[in-house]
Amino acid sequence: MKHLIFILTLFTLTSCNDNFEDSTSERQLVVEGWLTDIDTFQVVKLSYTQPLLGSNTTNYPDDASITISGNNGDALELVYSGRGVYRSPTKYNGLSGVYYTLRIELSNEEIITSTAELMHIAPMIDTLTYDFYERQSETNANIIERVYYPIPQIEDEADQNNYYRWKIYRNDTLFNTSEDIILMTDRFFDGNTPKFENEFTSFEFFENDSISLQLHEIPKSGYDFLRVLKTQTSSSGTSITATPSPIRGNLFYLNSNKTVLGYWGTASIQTSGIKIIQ
Amino acid sequence: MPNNQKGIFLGLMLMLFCIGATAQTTSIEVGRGTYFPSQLLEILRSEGVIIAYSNDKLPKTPIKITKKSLEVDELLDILVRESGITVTQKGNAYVISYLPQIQYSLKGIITDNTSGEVLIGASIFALDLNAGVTSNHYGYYSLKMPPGEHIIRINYIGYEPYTDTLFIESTSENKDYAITPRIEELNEVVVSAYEPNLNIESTIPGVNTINLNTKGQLPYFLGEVDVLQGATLLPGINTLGEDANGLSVRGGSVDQNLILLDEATVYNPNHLYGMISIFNPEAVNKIEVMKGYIPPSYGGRASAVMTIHQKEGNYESFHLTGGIGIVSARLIAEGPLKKEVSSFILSARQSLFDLTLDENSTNYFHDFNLKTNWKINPKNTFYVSGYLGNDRSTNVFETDRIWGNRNVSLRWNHLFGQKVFANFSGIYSQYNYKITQPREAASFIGKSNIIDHTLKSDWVYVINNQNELNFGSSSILHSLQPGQRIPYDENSSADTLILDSEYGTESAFYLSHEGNHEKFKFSYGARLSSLFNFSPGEVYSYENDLPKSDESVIDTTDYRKFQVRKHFIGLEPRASLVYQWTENISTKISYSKTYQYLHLISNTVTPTPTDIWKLSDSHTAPTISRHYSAGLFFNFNKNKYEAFVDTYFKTLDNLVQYKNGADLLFNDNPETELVNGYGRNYGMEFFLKKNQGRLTGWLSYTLSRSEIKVNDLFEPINNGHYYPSNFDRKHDISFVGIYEFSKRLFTSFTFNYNSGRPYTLPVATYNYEGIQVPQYDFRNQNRLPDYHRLDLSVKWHTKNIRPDGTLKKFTDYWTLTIYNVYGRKNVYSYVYDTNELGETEVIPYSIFDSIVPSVTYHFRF
Repeated sequence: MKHLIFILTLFTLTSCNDNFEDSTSERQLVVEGWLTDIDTFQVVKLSYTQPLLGSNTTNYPDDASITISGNNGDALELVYSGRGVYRSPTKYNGLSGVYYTLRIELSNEEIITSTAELMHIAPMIDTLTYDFYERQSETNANIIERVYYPIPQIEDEADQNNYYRWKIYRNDTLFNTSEDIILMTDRFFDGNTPKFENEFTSFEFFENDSISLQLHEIPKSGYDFLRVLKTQTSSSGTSITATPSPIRGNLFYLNSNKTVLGYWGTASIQTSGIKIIQ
Repeated sequence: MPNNQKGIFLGLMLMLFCIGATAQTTSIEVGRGTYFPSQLLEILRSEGVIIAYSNDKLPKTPIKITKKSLEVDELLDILVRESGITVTQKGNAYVISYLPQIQYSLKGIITDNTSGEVLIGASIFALDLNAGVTSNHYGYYSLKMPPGEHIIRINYIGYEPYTDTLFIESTSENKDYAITPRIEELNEVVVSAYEPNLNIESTIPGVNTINLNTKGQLPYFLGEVDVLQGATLLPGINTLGEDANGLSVRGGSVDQNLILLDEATVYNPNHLYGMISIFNPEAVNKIEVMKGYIPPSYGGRASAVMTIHQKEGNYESFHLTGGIGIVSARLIAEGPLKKEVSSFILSARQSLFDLTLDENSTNYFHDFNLKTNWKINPKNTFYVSGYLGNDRSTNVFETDRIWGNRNVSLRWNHLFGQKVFANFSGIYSQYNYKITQPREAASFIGKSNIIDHTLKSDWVYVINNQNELNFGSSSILHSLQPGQRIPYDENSSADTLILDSEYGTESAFYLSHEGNHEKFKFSYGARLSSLFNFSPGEVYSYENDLPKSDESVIDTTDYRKFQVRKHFIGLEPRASLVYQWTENISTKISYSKTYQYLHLISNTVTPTPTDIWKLSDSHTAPTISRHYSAGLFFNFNKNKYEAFVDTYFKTLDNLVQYKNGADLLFNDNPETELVNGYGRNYGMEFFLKKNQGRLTGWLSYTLSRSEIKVNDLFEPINNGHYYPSNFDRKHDISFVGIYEFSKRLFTSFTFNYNSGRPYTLPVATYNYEGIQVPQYDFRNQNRLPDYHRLDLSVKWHTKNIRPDGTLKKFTDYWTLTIYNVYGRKNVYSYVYDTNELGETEVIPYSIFDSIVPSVTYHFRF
């Protein structure tokens, strides 16, 4: 009998249902954009935060007045082109050595400005090659497949702090998850030779794929913003989750205590590409 | 003439005077032979002599009577002369009084008679005196008693009680006891006081002892026996989750626990990123967790002390023990180097399979333990013990990470005379982390480490059976290398980058007095601790009106080698009082103040192997903890059950906390990322344990809060209000049962329930470059779902026991373990994703989401 009671005790312990609790807050403005040194239509995107749960009923501020101004006297007014995107009316390229500032005037007379950000000059991507490793195919265990990855080389400028971001495209499609944000500083290889080389082994390419790389040289504030954004988005859920925290950008209201989310900055860009041929 | 002899002489003179004045001449038939004083007085009383005396206080000295008959005064004269009593006449009655008794010492070591292993916390009790002591951490005991015959009882859980009759006739008697383990006990985990009523009488409230003796095995992940995970079944101790590094004790953070392996500090007690502890269960003798009152002999951490004692090895014969399971295989060799004088134990453990799910990397671990000792003579014993363990992770791109602890302890136990026991230790502790990246042009080797060199001495002065002084000192030289990156080879374009090393000496002196006076027991004392930080290098001064950052530096001070950069001195009073209402009920109150001069710098929710330690300095003050506790402890039904209710309140000043988005990687000036916090933890613990019978086990419940406040001028967290710490658990319930179906078949279960831990839920999301970004506001304002899990194990011994009840030379058993019996998907955190409709999806993340069965095999011969 005692045996029976013991066994019954074990199985009277049953699981319960768990409910996910949601919490909400007032919507906030989000600013996104990079002024590049490529001669193109420069864009800034405005959007709002959304409740954590629920359908995506995003609406965008479409009546803002946005100006990018440089300390060289340049002023670029952007016009609304839909879905929160404001575009320069003509092609424009940022100039190295110039500090640029973003100013947004909202229809409710709130004014947002960014800190002034310097346009740097990104170093050339000197060479772009690729290598591969072999693994068992995920679809057919009998097949050993080759997985290729890009290896770029750059020559870092000595005696100055450089902050880099890589964007990687496979067949013109950007790898666009938070894990794909590749950030580097030259703190560990400042101006050294041989040229700095990186193996992007976490990006998978296959035979006949084309590899395109963009190297962005960005301000420290942009680097810090993307670093925290990546940490806050890519490690969530794992056992080494970073302590959750608000992500600071470089934008603020001039006439309100509210917070602006997002970041706007400058990016000097170099590109390179190669096709994988066995 | 010694004082006590002088006293006897004077007493004798006085008595002779008294007797001479009142002599009686009645003759009494006594008979030749040897009598105790009590017997002679009883004869006098039976002859009609009116005589008053207390049987308990009479000396036990045997008196030889050579005449058949004696006069009353002649007999009294012999009694006075031989036993030291005094006799005075009041009217026609005699009153017996007693000089202060001569106290001799009985001392020695308690060991296991099958292995020679010393037994820590065994009870040595003189039944006739109703007085006793327990053996200390080295198995040593010292008991004061008057000369004469005494009955000694030795008790230790899992061992047959042993009774001995002794005749004490010299001032210092040395007597070692070797007691016999009960046959059915085998090495697993049990939580217990060692000796019945120790939990009632101990002056250390909030101490839990984990002994590796129980009939059944507490089930744990993949059949492993894990002593630290076993501790989480105790009230007030928990973790953040299944694979979370380290333990939280009474709401404290992981770095607030001092973990000592044979007195050497262990900085990372886990393998496999927190899945199992580094302590090979086969090599461990005992673990103590001091979570409330911390005796003055310990310090340096703000929350708790965990002491892990390695086995010494068998002094009598050679043995080989081993086991194999899904996680690891282990082998232990032990035996005498010189029989009954010196022994050794050597153990090794190796992980077998890569348990991580990342197909591009492999993870494994190994560890080794060694301990040897040499009992030179009853007064001198030497110990050498060591530990070496590594975790290693390599990936297909040749990146290699290796981290682990190394410890060496040299100890010398010495007895000075009859009353003073001393332990001298020289200790080396190291934790290091290394990453090697041989590929790429900027290939590099990265390293960080912390190394301690410790010298310490601990002294015990036994004043008498009621009073004991403990005192000692320690000095630790901390050497910390927070990080260095060097080129992998001459082809590498990587720069050499070496962060400034930190050096400091952490020293302490302590003194405490333990008293044991019938119903009232106490321990009080103080520890005077200090840190002298003499790290060379630059120290920045920052603008007072601005947050600390590179931009707010206003001055730089360059410190030379050995120049003291900053020093701290802390007085740490400690006190614990026990009032024993009855034999089975006591109340305990305690207070402990501690200083912590070393901080783990980690901005992740759970610590990682790469986290570095940092000394207190100009910008980082020592964490100061004040811990108050009060509890009621009671045993009932002839110690079949033990129980307690313990309440505590703990405050923590100068908690190291982190700014939002802190960047700690290779940071030259980590103070720019740190802020000061204040903590308060409080709670109530309930514990009920059944010690005997076929069903044994315990039920524990903790009701608690753990909160933090960061009211930094520039970086307040949650607007400077209190918020729940990551270790806050309102309810924590553990239920453990071990059932003996037969002598060869046992089953055990553990059930754990606790409130979901605090969690920071986004208040909204936004999109940046196509990435769904959670918008966080205040920290830890939400909770994960409640956590609960049931584990089960069945332990089956093959035919190990002979018909006569003795164990065969070769013994083995199998263990079937089912982890997470009902497949509970305990939520560890949430992942946010966007579905095809552009809606945010909240996906619960669980470490385990199904039943995990396993089988392990153990043997010994």
